[in-house]
Amino acid sequence: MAFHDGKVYTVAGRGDLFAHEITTHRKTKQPMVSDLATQIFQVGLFESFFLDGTYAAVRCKRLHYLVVSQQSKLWMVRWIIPYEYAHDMKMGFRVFEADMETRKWTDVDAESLGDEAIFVSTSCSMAVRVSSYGGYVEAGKIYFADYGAERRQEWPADSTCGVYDLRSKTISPGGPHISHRSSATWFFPSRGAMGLCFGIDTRSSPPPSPPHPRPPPPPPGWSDLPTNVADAVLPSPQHPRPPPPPPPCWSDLPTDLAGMIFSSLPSHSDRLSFRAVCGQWRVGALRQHPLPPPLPWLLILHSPCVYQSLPDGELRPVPGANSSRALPYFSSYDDGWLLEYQCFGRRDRIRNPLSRAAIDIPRCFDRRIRSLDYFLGDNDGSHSINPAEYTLPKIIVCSPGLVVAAVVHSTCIAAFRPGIDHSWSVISGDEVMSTTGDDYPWMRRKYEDIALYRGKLYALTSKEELLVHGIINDDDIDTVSANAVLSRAEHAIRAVHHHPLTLLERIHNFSSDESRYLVISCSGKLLMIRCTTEYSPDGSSSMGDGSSSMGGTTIKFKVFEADLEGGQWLEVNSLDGQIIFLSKACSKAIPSSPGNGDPRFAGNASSFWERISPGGGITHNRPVLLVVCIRKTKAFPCMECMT
Amino acid sequence: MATGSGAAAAAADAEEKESGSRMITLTSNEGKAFVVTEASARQSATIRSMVDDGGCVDKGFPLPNVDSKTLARVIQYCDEHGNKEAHTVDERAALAKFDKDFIAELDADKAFLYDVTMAANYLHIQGLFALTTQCIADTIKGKTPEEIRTAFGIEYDLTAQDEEEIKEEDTHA
Repeated sequence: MAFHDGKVYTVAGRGDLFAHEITTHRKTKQPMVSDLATQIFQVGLFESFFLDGTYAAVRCKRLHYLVVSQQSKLWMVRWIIPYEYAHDMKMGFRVFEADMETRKWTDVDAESLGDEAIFVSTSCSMAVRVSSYGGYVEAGKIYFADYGAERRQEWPADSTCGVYDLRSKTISPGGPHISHRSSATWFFPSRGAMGLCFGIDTRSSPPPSPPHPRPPPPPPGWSDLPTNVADAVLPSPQHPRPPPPPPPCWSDLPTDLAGMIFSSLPSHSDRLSFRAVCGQWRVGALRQHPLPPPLPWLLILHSPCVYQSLPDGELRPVPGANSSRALPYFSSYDDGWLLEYQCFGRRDRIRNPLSRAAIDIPRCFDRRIRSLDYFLGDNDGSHSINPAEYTLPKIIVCSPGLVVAAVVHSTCIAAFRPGIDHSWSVISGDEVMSTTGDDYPWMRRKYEDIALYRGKLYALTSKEELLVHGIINDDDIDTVSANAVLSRAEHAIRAVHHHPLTLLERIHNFSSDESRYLVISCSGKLLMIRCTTEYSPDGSSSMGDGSSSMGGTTIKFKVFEADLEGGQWLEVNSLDGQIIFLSKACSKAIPSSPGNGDPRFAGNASSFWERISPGGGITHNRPVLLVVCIRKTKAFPCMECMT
Repeated sequence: MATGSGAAAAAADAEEKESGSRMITLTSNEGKAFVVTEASARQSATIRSMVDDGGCVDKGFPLPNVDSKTLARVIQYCDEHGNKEAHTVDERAALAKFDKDFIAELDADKAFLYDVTMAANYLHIQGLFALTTQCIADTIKGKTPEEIRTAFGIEYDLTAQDEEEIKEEDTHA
């Protein structure tokens, strides 16, 4: 049912549309809905039979929702839920627009949806402009809340919510920040703010944080101020205290204020403490949205499970680790995965200490790789991943079904499917790359970094080529497939042709070192960051633009954005206030928030985090935090050498 | 005021508004009246918008949610920030020092800090609100939940279910 253009519209059966006029009662002059419905259009049995494929109509359940778009069009959202026996049919959504002239439903594709996303649930559906929600809602997607009894087996038992992408026609359980154990419906408290209201919440605790940000809190709701101030009584506060005011107390702190204070705490451990203070604070903290990500931890490698919390600099044990028996971690990868590796142990695995998930990794490659050329010169290579921290400098868990790693000092990517494969399948990128300029083994092109970006795996070579591997799912209903494999490499960005090096440049090469990183920016762009370290032979140091100098070593950063359509790198001069943390094993861009309290990350300075060993070479255990402002000459290393 | 028509009166009114020399009466919930300059009162966005909307400046503004002690302290902040210039480096430094001393005093009296924070939120005095919330955040940093409760005089009121969830959160993160 929807109210549109002064009429109440209802949809029934196969998609028949009815309109009810709003009239005035003859006697009371009160507005009323006429009980006489006009059928606007009728979808015939025959038509409906073929609308979603042959015999589809009898093999699936179809639910219809009416939504008024932000462009004031009347949309019907059809949810197709195949019956249990219709194994070949996919669950999906279609959107139609009511064409009042021809009296027909016309198909609406993702493009025509513009910047709108649709929320559907039985009691409340709405189309919203995604621009109002700062990235928490994506255009062209349908967010549904009440996937109930018809749930198929592969659907997570504790989720009734999901997102359907109209563009890729894929469906995934649990939207951003949605997870719960009860049935749900959308609830829109007011314009500009959204929240999830739970019908039958099984827990007495407050509902989880609303999936979408409220308007920025600090100056709340100026537009709400009354324009008529003749009586000059100020509006009552948004959260009035309970009437009998025995001295107000901190445990009465309004939840919105508690949430704001909570989000200004940059340290993960402080946030945990805050949530455990009292009931009211806890509610405020759990409801707070958007919540800036806490600052990362600095994990101390090769020693038993301690990390340094960046805001306060304290050393703390890694949670979930039993300190007496704990294995040292060797690398930290994206999404909280750590490499637990024993040279002569029984098994190697990656582990997420926060979720406690662990994945065993195979100990060998399916063919010989020459991963140690750098140290040993040319040889036949080896099957072994040993030493894993060097051969597998970066591991990405693409999905529960596919783990991918770049292999150092080679142009191979290795991947395996947890629980299925007993070795890493190696996919070489050599065939698509030219081989000019590979004069010496140590100048040989190699993969420097890999990144999972928009569902594809990108690999960056030392010649600044960008290669892309598609991820092929056998089963295309579900993006998280157990049988995902990587496709062959294709060029996304080709190397800029280099002239042969002059003797001077070759000599120069010995005194400098370049490394490159792939980072996905906060605004969703793929960035390459080139870091040049120059070692000055006489120990003198120079400070140039955007460079930092420590003990005779000059470090410079340049940032490029991948122009995938144009196949080129575009240099970027501003990071728009993002803080970028770099290391070989994981890199991340986080938005800099004014309240995160750490002067090193304050203002609009763009910071880089890098394990740089002043002596050069691969030294993983002496981390140095380096903060560089990309446009200012002011640059300073800090927090040197924790170990 | 300036209800009598005429360009002169309107001009005078505009000038008066410009100079901020109008006085505004704020009344606490105990009925105590505080007379402040308009410049001082304009530190509060709530009052500012009412004044700009042509509200009854003469009648004054009753503030049913603010008691006299808190209002006096809030006005102290507004006077400092509203009536003084902060153009030169020295002036800014003086203001920063005022803020530092102001919050240090509140920091020592957490119950009062609460009242001032609530008033700053209610009256939308952004600078004061930022100052108090930062003070609260600084107090929380590096403390255990028990230490935070002690610092703010909060009684333990978590349910068994909350405790269980917290235990879960702690081990997982």
